[in-house]
Amino acid sequence: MLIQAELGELVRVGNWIEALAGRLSLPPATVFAMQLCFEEAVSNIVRHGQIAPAGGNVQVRLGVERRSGTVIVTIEDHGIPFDPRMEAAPAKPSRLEEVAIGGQGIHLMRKFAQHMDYERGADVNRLTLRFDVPRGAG
Amino acid sequence: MRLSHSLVDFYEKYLFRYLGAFYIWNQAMEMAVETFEGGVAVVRLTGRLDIAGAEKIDLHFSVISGAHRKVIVDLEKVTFLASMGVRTLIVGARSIRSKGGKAALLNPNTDVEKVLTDTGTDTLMPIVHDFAAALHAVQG
Repeated sequence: MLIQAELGELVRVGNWIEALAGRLSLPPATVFAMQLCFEEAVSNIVRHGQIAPAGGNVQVRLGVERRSGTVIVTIEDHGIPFDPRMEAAPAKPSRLEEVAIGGQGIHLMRKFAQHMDYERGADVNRLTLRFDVPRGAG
Repeated sequence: MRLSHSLVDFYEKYLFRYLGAFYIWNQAMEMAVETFEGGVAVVRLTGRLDIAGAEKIDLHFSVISGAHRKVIVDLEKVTFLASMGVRTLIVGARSIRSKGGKAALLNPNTDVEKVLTDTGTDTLMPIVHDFAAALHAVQG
């Protein structure tokens, strides 16, 4: 699926995943995790990667591949290099006032995907996420 | 083969668009507020608390958080929560706490609760699973 790097596109992404969930026999918890990671990844691209080297809007290509026991999600964009794995996790709050207001998106991706990989090649950011599908689910 | 590709094209290009309109209508975030004796405000949220959902309720939620010291946020009908929704809840909770008030989160589903605990939101507002416990949390 190809989308523009715009937050408004997230509705279309949500619909796409809902449709895929039935076709790929994905359990609700996996669908939730995938939707969460797509929302956080795309909003990061919108915030950090909107500079297209050739001008115009950055496009984002989303892929979902069902394998035995897992789902592999890929998110590719032509924006500026951005490796989300390098973002520091928010500090664990010890006091109520320390609960972070922002910066939780990548932290949540780490928590909801079982593995996160990043590579940069041919001016493309490629983020790969793995979601394990519980045995017997779907 | 060609027919199959045409159907896939149709499905992906057009059907999603129309289904999408229904989906937006069906899942759009709604917020209702009920005030109980003792100044307890119950904020009932329904739908997806994603970027669009957070944007829709931000102002109203902020007004309620600014005006009340005891707030129960009923999340039972919230089907999805992402970081922008978490932000809305945390900003509201801080506003309530700044007046010496208390807030509680009522009945999130399992996935929503995981988002709340993974982000530490539950250290700012306790998560409870029945209304009596919620009343106790904001009045205690």
